Amino acid sequence: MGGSSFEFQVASADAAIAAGLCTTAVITYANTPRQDRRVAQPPRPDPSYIFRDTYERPTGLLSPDIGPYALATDRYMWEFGVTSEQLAEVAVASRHWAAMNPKAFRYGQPLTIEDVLATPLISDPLHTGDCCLITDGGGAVVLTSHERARDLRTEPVAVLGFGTAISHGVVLVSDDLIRTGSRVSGGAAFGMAGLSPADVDVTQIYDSFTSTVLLTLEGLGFCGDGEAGSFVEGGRIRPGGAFPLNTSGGGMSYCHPGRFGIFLLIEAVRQLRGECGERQVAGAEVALAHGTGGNLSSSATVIMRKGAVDD
Amino acid sequence: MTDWPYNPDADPYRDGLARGVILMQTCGACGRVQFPPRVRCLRCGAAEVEWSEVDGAGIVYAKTVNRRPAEEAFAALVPYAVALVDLDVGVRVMARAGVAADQVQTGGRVVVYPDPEPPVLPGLLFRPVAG
Repeated sequence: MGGSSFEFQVASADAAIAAGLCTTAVITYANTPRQDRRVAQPPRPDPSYIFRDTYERPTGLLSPDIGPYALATDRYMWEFGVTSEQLAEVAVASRHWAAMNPKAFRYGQPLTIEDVLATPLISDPLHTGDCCLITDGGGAVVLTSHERARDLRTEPVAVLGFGTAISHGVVLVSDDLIRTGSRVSGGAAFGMAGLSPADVDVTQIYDSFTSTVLLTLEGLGFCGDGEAGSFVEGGRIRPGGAFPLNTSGGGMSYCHPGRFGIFLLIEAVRQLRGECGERQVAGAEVALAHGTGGNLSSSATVIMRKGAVDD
Repeated sequence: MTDWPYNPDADPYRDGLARGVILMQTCGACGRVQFPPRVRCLRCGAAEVEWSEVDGAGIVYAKTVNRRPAEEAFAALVPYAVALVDLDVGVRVMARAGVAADQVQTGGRVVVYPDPEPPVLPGLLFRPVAG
């Protein structure tokens, strides 16, 4: 489940609390890949990764990292005519948001579409500028019962709905790389919440790569198939736009210590509590956090609303 | 060469590559060709799956060009293309281009064949064909 583990864990924690198995659950993450200067190691034979080792490794695909996402991005661009400029807008918009987040790794470092396109290709069609950061970082989320939450000092944020999906192990066995598990997880989350995409005020979508965001926008139903490239244009996802997205600066500009999913939840909660200062989205009542992990293979969606709810 | 991963289901496939042929499973009940190999037919569940040589003709579903080697054994090949290829027999495989990366087109016709000099493990190559 990789970077989306934390959204899966919200689902587990919510169910455990509802079933009375526990009252309070803590979800945490911390990692220091930048400080450690950890370098990716060649894959070792491992029965857990038997398909990767048997069918992917012989080809020299950069897996499990960028390679599967690059293949999906190539197919996506080929099928719908999405452009590298449209992908780059995801990175540029995240940098605009990061300009209002003093904690962001790329704070005070402006970025243009041309800058992104000028970065080296790693695994075509993805440039280094299409990739998330490698930073240190950590965070935690506390979930508790609605009853307990009403007595706390901080304003509670209610989990209204969630959904999870695992679509494949390795990309070789995925029937359709560009219609991701977000269709299943998002549909379940909206169904449980009794809401539709139009009801969401602020959105956090895992941006492991620029294309991950576009595929997820379509999967969650914020726009139609093949439309996300034009959806993000014209400043829509930048500060002041109609669709505030990845308001912390995301994994592209805020931080990415290996797994970013915890920060999607944290930023969603901060926005709903009105704690975001200059980057605060006015009137944010409903937030969505969506994690994508593995080989574009695991998807989990959490929909939250400001304030306590009755049990 | 690196040790073959522990995957007994795929041993006939691996042995076929060493002999220069692509062997895959065909279900004895419903006739479906499947890949990767499994202990049963994934569609109908039948246990009778038979190995036979398949034709490598297909279409590129998606491609990427590696500008960095996945591991040292591929360093001399950079840049090299890797693709998912939908074979006409109805299965998808992953293969590395046996030609220059800029000759590879998504949606293009190709033929897949066993890599005669695999850098790390037995695998597949592909090359564009007319039509």
